Amino acid sequence: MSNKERFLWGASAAILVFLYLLSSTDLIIKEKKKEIYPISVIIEDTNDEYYANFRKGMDKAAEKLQADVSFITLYQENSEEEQMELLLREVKDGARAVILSPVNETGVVMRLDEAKPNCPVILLGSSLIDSSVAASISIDGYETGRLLGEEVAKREEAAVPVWLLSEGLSYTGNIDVYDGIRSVLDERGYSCRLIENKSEDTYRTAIEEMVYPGSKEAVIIALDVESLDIASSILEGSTVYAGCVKGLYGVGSTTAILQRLEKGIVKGLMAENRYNEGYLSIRSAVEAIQGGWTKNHIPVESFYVEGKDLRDPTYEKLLYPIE
Amino acid sequence: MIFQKLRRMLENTSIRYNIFIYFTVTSLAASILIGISLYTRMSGQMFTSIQEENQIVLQQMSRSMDVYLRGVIKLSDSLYYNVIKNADISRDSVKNEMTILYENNRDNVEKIALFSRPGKMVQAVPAAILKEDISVCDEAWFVSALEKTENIHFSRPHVQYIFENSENRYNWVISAARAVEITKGTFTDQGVLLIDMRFDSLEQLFDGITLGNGGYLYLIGNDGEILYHPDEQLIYSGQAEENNQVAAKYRDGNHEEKFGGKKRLVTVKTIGYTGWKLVGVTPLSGMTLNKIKTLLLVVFIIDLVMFLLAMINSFISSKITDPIKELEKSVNEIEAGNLNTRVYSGGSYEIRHLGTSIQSMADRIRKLMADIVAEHESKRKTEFDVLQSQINPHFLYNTLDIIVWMIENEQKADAVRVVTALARFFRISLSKGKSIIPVKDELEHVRNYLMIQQMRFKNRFTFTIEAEDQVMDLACLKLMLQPLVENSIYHGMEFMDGDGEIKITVKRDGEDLYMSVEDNGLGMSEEQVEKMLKDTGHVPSKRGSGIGVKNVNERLLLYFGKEYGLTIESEPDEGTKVTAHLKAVRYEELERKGEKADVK
Repeated sequence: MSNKERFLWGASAAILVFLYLLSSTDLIIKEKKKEIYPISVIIEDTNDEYYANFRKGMDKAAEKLQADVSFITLYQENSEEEQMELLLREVKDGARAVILSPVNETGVVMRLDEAKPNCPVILLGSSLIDSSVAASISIDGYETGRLLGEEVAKREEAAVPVWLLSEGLSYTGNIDVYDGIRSVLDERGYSCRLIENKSEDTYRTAIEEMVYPGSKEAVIIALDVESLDIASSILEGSTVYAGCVKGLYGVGSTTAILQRLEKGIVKGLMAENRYNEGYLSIRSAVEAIQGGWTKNHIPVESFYVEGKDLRDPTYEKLLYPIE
Repeated sequence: MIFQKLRRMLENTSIRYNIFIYFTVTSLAASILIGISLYTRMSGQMFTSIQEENQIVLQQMSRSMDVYLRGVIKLSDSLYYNVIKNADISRDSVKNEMTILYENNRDNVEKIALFSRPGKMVQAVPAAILKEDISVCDEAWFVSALEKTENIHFSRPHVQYIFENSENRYNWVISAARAVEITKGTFTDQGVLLIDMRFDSLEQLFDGITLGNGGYLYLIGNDGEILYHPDEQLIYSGQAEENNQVAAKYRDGNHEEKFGGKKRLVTVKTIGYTGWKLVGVTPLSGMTLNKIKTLLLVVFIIDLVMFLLAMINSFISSKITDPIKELEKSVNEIEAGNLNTRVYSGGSYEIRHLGTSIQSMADRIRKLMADIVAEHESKRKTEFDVLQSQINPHFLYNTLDIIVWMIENEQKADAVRVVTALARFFRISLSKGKSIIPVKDELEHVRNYLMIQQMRFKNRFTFTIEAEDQVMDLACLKLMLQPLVENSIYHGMEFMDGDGEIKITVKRDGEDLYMSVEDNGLGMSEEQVEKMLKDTGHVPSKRGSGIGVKNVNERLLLYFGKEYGLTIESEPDEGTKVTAHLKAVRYEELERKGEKADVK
């Protein structure tokens, strides 16, 4: 056998071995393994009351994208420090991405820049994008406020004062909604009063004032879902209060709020697709883990709903997601 | 062009490579054809079996749905015919029996309620409160039930709004409604029986049912509206899409479609009572064997088969061609002149036969060549012997004439010397028939000859013989010097007037022996020298011994080889020197081996 022949036989045998390794082992071409992505979701509240639909979307995404989601609530409501502590703890415990609903978006971003958590962080309810933020998901707060302002202006007279209830304008997203509403109402000559929720009875005390003799009726607009829930709950509990309020409007929805909308306690609200928000947040987190830091703001659509719209199949499916 | 080049290349390759290449190319073509055929067949079979599997899954699912819906119909029938019809609705037994039936079906049923024609709730299990501002008469299910009283109407999935619920609860249900007769006391009126089936109980039917390769099942209504889909909420939210409106137009069976840029197999099965359609979707990309690893495995198998075939081909071609190569080696040996080589005779019958034939041919050639050589040698010997035996009669006559002349002139001593020399001359000429004699005998022989010729030519020349003692016992050809000396006398000394000189020198140089005859005669031109050694050259003089210079040269070549022989150096009017170049071999040694031994 000549050297050339030996070389050819050797090369053929080597090709065979190489093909075997390629086709029948995981040494060269690795089969795509189903990877589980540990993701933590940290909200700003002490319970998930306002996150029911969000969680349904989140669970669907987790099922489809193989994510192991830990949903974490705070011990103290709206505590920025605790949020950061939990974030760092989760990263330390192996979370590969964190979805955070920041108490105060600016403060959180500054803290993230300092802490450098070394994993993608997705912000909820915020449109901020920063070097330490992989993506953000939220409605357009200003536009939502403006649309709500337009709807209120269509239905209520300018002579009636408008009370704007808010958990606090410093909290993420609230200022945008506030500005949006004011941009319409101020232009149309409405008188507005901002009431921030400083204690448990702030809203109740304010509404009680309407009952006093000499007080005027008012239109109430709740700038956030918590405020809307509290205000609608107060009005539901007393026909006297309800009689003094010309109309209650707000931003955000829960099943309870939707029932009050159906009953007419709430006249109209700006709802958002929370299921979608939950699904997109997990999908963005998985994409970020896989290397796709889009650094994009993902907008979520908001729409105005009244009690009569609830049985419309389109709204029905959006507001009452099937699990 | 390429084919011609390939053809030329194949023509220049060995028989082994030709066999190997033809076998391997044929095997490769066969392997590829088999591979493609198998791949196509397997893909086709897989496609068919997945289609069949989808049909089976859909059949089973359709049966499950049928059982589910029939269960609801049966419940509705039981409620109507066994509980409500002809019974006074105000009696407690009606509610009790309704409760029993509800309890038996509570896994699937959310609520059972009975409404009067004006829309008043007559009975509800479990107990429920109608919302204040709700007008049941406007509900789609209520209207449908009273429109077609003979049917049970199934609604699309919806949230049930008519009943008061706890704050954080909403129920997705499918409402089954039918018109019933309600008896209260003596009055009978029409009403509507509502059964709200839990939507999640329908979902449970689909739970875990997949079609493999990422396939899934969904359920659509008559108008194509999605009733159940594993990703229904994503579809409503705009995160996913489904081709449900097109699927609604499909007939039962398998259909191929392209949706969202992907080909997929859609299997449709209609559910009997409701006309709803079960739709199974299987992506076609997952059904073919085109995954990279599968393709590589096919390539590996073809390559492995090729490798094994190539090894077998190589073995077979070697088995066939190795004997031919061995035979070729033998033929090359014969071609190089080695006729004694043993011709290879092995392998298959044809090669063995060919080997034997070539061996026979080589033997025959060898024999023929030996015969030719023997014949040639015999001819030379005969010629030599003839020449030798025919010592020119003139030489003998002239010698005898001198002897007579010497006796007449009283030169007895000279006459005795000549006679003695002549006697010795003939004795050595005979030498018992040997053709090889010692140098000393040859010199003795030439000395006798020169003495006789000196007498005859009346001392026109003188001669000297110079030879070292060590050369005396070396072997040389008999009568080798005499023709050279004869040549010098007749062509060099004839016209000399006593000043002719002939010098014979014998000397050894290593393994060579040089015997030269030099004269100072007329000399020769180059042409004459050339002619001397050729066939047409020098014709022996009638006065000489009759043995020519050419003859001496040929004998030297014959006995000692091509590198030996005569060399002639001559200049006109200067003289001639003829040198015989021999191999220095001791005479005794040659005699031991036999005189005819080839000194070559």
